This record gives sequence, structure tokens and C-alpha cells, in this order.
Amino acid sequence: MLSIATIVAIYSILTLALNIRWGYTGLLDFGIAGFFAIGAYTSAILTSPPSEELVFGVRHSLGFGVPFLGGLLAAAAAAAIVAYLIGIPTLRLRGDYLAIMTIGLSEIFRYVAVNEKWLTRGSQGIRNLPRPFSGYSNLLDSLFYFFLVLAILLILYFISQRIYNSPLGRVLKGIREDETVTEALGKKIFKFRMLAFVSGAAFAGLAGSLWAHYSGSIMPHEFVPDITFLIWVSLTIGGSGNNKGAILGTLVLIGILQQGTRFLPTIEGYTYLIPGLRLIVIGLLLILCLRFRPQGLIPEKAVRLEKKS
Amino acid sequence: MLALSIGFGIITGGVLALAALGLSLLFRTVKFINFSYGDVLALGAYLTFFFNVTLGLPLLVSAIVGMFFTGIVGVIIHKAVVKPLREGVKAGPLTLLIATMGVAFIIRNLILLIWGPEPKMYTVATQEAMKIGPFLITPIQLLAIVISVLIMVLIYLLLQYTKLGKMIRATADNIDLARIRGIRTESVVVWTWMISSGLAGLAGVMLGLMGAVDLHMGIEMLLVIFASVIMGGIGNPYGAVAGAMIIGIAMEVSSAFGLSEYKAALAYLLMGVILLLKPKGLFAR
Amino acid sequence: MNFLLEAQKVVKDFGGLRAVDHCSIGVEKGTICGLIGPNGAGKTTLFDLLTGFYKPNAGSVYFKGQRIDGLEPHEICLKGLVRTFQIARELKNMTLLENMLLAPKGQLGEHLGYAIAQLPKVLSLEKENLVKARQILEIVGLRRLESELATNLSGGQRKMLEVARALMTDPEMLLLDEPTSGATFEETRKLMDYIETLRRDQGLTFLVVEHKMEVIMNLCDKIFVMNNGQKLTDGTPREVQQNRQVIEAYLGA
Repeated sequence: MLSIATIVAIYSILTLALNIRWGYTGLLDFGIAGFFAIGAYTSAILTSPPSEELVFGVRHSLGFGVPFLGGLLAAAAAAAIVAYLIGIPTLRLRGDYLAIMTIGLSEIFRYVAVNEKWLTRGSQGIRNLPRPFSGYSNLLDSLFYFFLVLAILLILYFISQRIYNSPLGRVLKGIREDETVTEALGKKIFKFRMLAFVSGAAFAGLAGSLWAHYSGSIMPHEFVPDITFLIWVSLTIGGSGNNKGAILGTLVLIGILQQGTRFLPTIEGYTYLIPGLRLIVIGLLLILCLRFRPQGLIPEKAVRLEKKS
Repeated sequence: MLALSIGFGIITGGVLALAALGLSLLFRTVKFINFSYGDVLALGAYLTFFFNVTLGLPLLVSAIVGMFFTGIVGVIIHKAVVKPLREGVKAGPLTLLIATMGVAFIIRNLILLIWGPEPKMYTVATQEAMKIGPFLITPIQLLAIVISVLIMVLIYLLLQYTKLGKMIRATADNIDLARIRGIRTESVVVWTWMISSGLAGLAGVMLGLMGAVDLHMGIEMLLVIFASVIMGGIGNPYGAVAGAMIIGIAMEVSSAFGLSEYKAALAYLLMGVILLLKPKGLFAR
Repeated sequence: MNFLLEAQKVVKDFGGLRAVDHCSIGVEKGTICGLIGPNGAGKTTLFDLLTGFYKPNAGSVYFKGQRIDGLEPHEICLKGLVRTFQIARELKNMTLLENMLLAPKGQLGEHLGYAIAQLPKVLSLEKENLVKARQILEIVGLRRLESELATNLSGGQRKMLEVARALMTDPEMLLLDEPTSGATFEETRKLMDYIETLRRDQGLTFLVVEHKMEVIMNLCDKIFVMNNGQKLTDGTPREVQQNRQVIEAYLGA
């Protein structure tokens, strides 16, 4: 149960990230998995204990033994920096092209992870990632970790809400609704798109780091577009544009569907049956949701403009 | 060595061109990017496998039947997903893109459920590579190129000279005007889905012949197909063909220079560069 | 002649089509000018050129003596020149108040740090803008709808919102593109009065594209007439009314 909760919390951060990009600003982004990966790898590379080893015959020095917190922050920073660099050329593209470019980039990250063995240990992945509470018993360790993730989730939720209810959030929504008008009213569109893009990346990077240390090891083939897909469905079901919805959607999708069905029996020899069915159901859910309840479980609420005195 | 790569590039480009042509045609008419196109391609390969290996039909027959059924799948996507969304919630191109992403996952996992995760091969005699000038090519590959070219010519003739072709072009240019002029645009759209998906299926079969029929072939090809289409100028089917050839050759040539793992990445990069410098593609209409 | 806004022989080509053909206009500060012409004359394109949505192929545009052609639309807005659109572009899924509050310049809260921290400075700025927005909405008769989603407004109301929203940017000059299309007789009169008031009390300058002759004739000090991308003539309403070429242009259109 605890592990499901932790996973849900981590994925919720990803959904919040997508919400800032798509829900607020209307950036069609299919590359969240890429920033997730960058965060995970950055943290992993930095926090691995230093070691010299022979990997596939390549002399390999990996790991700097940086403490967990350092890895966490570096993950967010790395994702943000990469997002900024990518954003400069690509954020001028129109919606559907941006979608394609973001997938392409996310796939390029994956290729780099697989092929640049000197950096990432290739397909073998990186193992033995430290946990901050590993001094305690297993149960306490997991419990504390969950609370850590939860705390970070809540902080990020708070930050997202603050942005949403602020003039910044208004501009982002304006860009989503009608870019031309927003520009005509004196707002520099590119700057705000970049802000949304980079913020989303930082969130995703954080999530990546949390994931890496939760999981203990990471491999390139984990960071596939499937993750992006799941996050999209979570956001759509929960209510795009809405942070509560984002978390709720993730809870429903990842919590119930993804992890809950883990407990169904596997048929011998057909281990792919349940995962396959699951994804089909999720795909159907997405389409049905778009058709019959596009606003999601929790529709976007109008902004509260005045503080209650 | 270089010539050999160019040769492979032409072959890859040829198959890619078929797929790119289909996607481009579809986009021109329905005005949104169909994200499930790659998995439709894979489905075509698998359906043909079913007819060829499971039912034992000869390859050529299987391919034709496979193509046909893939076309039907395309029509189903239109009727079951796109049309209800357009009419029910006035879905725009972005929403439809997202929805077809859902379709893509559904198809991919249906394939997984039905055929399992192991790659498949068609029953076809082992091929001896022949030497034609500086190129090394197997009879199957040669056949693939010939058929690709043939089909592209056929499509061209269809679009230019037949009634259906003219209706397709009119609908693509301005759907409201076409409807006013009495064209049954719904039929036209259905036909376009049929043809486009059929092309995808055929491309899938060819890819399957030259490599293996694999679950992920769709999503792997999808971005490269996108790259071709965008390079050639989205909405320009012939540009898409040219884009496909360029990308195919570029991919294979770069492979010769030792960058083979990054083949697909190169395609994306090329696409990115084009989008930045000439967003309307190389051959914009 | 000192013009607040001036276009000198601007040209705009689209492929083989010349939409604006060596057009020159000059608007003096504190005046209300009209821009009329048959459909397709190039009026909206001229607006696009004046506000940076298109760059002219030739010619130049000056605002407050500075050259502005070649600037981005948001930069031009920040200099004090704002425009509205021919087809009302309300931000549909946002309330009227949100539409209004998007516009003001210099909102500290648009920066990430300030947005998250929401310091008292940010909040008090919000309050000021809120008060101002409500005042303007009150004048144009939309106050009671302030929490409605903009998509629920009528045609005339949407155009009114466009004008109100533009005013929130604290402009010196407004380019209004058919502000009364779809408006009722009442709404039209109200808007005309408001424009007159703004000119009188705040010294704002206006250039208005209009098709309703009674609006143009009663409101404008000076009228520019366009046809086929060119400026046919300009002058006082009376002069333009009696101008042969103008009459022909409209009859021939």
C-alpha cells in the first residue's frame, strides 16, 4: 500500500508539471517523460557512490557521492536548464509541431541514456541508489520516504496554486485562450511560454529524482512515452487546468488502475496480458473522457480574485 | 561504402515515402495530426502476418488483404473516435491529437494481446542480395521499391484524374465550399482514411519484410514519418515523399559514418532544424 | 504637423497581392479619427501594420515621434498604442474581470517570484487594478456581468469588453476595429459617448474603423478613406461625404 501511495505521489508531481504546461498555458507537451528521465539520471549520477568499474570494457567512473538533497536540487536544476536550452528554438512552434518535437526530444534523451555509456551506464542502468533514511528499518524508511514525497508534493501544489491565482497565471491562461490578444495587450508571449515550460521541467526533474531514489535503480527503458501517456490521461480525467484535478486524476489512474490491478492474478505464460489490457482500458478511458466529460472530474474553477478579509 | 548506404537509404526512403504520403494526404483532408498512424502501420504488418503465416496465404495476397483491412481500421478510427469527438464536443486539432494518442496505445496493446510480444517473420524464401551497379539489394527490397513507386504513381493519377481524386482535393482545400458544391464530404473523408491507412499498412508490410514484424515498429516509425511529412511541408503529399527520401538517405548515410544508434535521433534533429528555418517545410504549397 | 501616430507610405504585400499600397495617414493627439472604406480595402491590414502584427514591406510607422514598425505587438502596446480586433477576441473561458485584469501593464505578479510570494505590494496592485476594472465595466454597463465567463456575452457586449479591456492597458491611443458591430442602438450610443468622454477628460486619441455612417459622421474629427489598399482621401466628415471618389468607391464596391 505504501509503495502505491508513494508512486501515486511521485506521479502526481508529474501531472502538476503537465498541468502548468498544458492546463494553464496550452503547451502541447508530449515530452514530460524526458525531463523525468533527466532528473532521475542527474540525481542518480550525482548521488551514486564513487566507483571505478569496467562496464562493457569501458573504464567508468561514476558517482560523486553527493548527498540526497543535493541530488534532488540538481535534478530540478538540470531539467530546468535543459528545458531552457530546448525552449529557445522550439517554443516558437505552433501547437501540434511542438508536440512532435517534444516527443522527439524525449526519445533523444532516451537514446543518449542508452548509448552514452560513459555517462549513464547504458541499458544496464544505475543501481544502488541511496535512500536518505536507509539507516532506519525498512518499514520506517519507506514511511519516511513517503512523507518526504508527500511533503514535496504539497509544497509544489501550493506553489502551483499560487501561480494559478496570480497575474502570472492569468497571462498563462490568456496565452492558452488567445495568444494574439494576449500579445496585443502587451505581454511577451515567448517569455511566458518559456516560464511555463521550464517550471514544468523543474517539477518533472524533482519527480525524477524522487523516483530514482524510491526505486533504487534506474534504466533507460523505464522512461518511455508510456509514462507521458499515463500522465496525460491522468490530467485529462482529473480535470485539465486544475491542480486538485491533476492530483485526483493521478490518484484514480495510477493509484487504482495502474497499481491496483497489480494484485490481479497473472496467467502463466501470458505475463503481458494484464498490462496490455490495462493500457487498452486507459486508452479507452481517455477517449471516452474527451468525448463525454472533457472538463474532467474537477472542472476548472474561476479564479478567486479577492482574498476573504 | 557510401553508395551502399545511399542504396539502403533509397530503400528506406521508399517505404517511408509510402507512409509519409498516406499521413500527408490524411492531414490535408482532416486537418489534424493522426497520432495513431504509426500503430496502424504496425497493425497492417501484423494483419498481413496473420493472413500469410497463420492462414498460409501467399505473401502478395496477404499483403493486399492486409492493406484492405488496415484501411477498414482507419475508417473505424474515423467513425468511432474522430467523428463523435468533432460532432459531440467540437474537438479541435489538439484534442484530436490527444485522442489519437489514446487510439495508438489501444492498437498497440491489442496487438500485444493478440500476437504477444515476440517479433514475427513472414514466410518468405531467404534472399540472396544481388549487385546492381554500386548497390547491394535483395529481390524483395527491389520489389518493395518498385511497388512503392507504382503505388505513388497510382495515387498521383487518382488524385489528378479521377472523380474521387478531384473530390478529395476539393474537400482538402475547403470542406465547406466542397459541401456546398454538392460533394458528399463524409464519403470523401471515409475514402481518405481508407487510402491513408491502407498505405500505412502497406508500408508496415514492407518494413516487416525487410526486418521483422514487431510491436514497437509503429511508434518507432511514427516520428520519422512525421519528420518526413513536416520536412516536405505538411499538407503537401509530394513534398512528403521527397522529405521521406531525404530522411531515409540521411539516416542510412549517417549510419555508415558510425552513428547508427542515433539514426532516428538524426531524423528528429533534421526535422527540428527544418521547423526552425523553414517552418512551412522545404516544399511548401 | 505633429502627429501622435503616423504612417508614411506603408506597403504590405501578400504573395502577389498588395493589401496596403503606399498608405499615409497622420493622427493628431486628442483627436478622434475614422477609417472607412469598402470591405477588403485594407483597413484591418493597416491596423495590423500599425500595431506590429505585420511588418511593412516598405514605408514606416511612427508613434510619439519614435519609429515603431518592426517592433513586436507587445512592445507597441507597452508604448501606449493599443488595438482591438474586428471579430471580438474575448478570452472565452475567463470571466470578464479576468479579461480586464489581464491587461494592465507593469503587474509585478506576472513575475514568477512575485507570483509565488504574493507580497503585499502585489496584492495591493491587484486591488487597484480591480477597482479600476470595475469602474470601467460600470461605465460600459457590464459591471453586473463581471463574474460571467466571457463566452456568455452577446455580440455587442463582447466588443464593448474589447474596448474596456484595451483601456486597462492605460493607453494614450486606441485603434478600434469596428467597435459597434453587433451592438444595439443603445450600446452604440453609449460607446460613442464614452469615447467622447475619454477624449475630453483624459486626452486619449482614437482611430476607429467603422461602417456605421452615423457613428463616423458624429464622432470623428477627421476621416481617412481607403480603397484597394490605398488612401483615397482624408478630411472632415463633411468634406469626405461630398467627395466624388468616395461615393464612387462605395457604390462601385
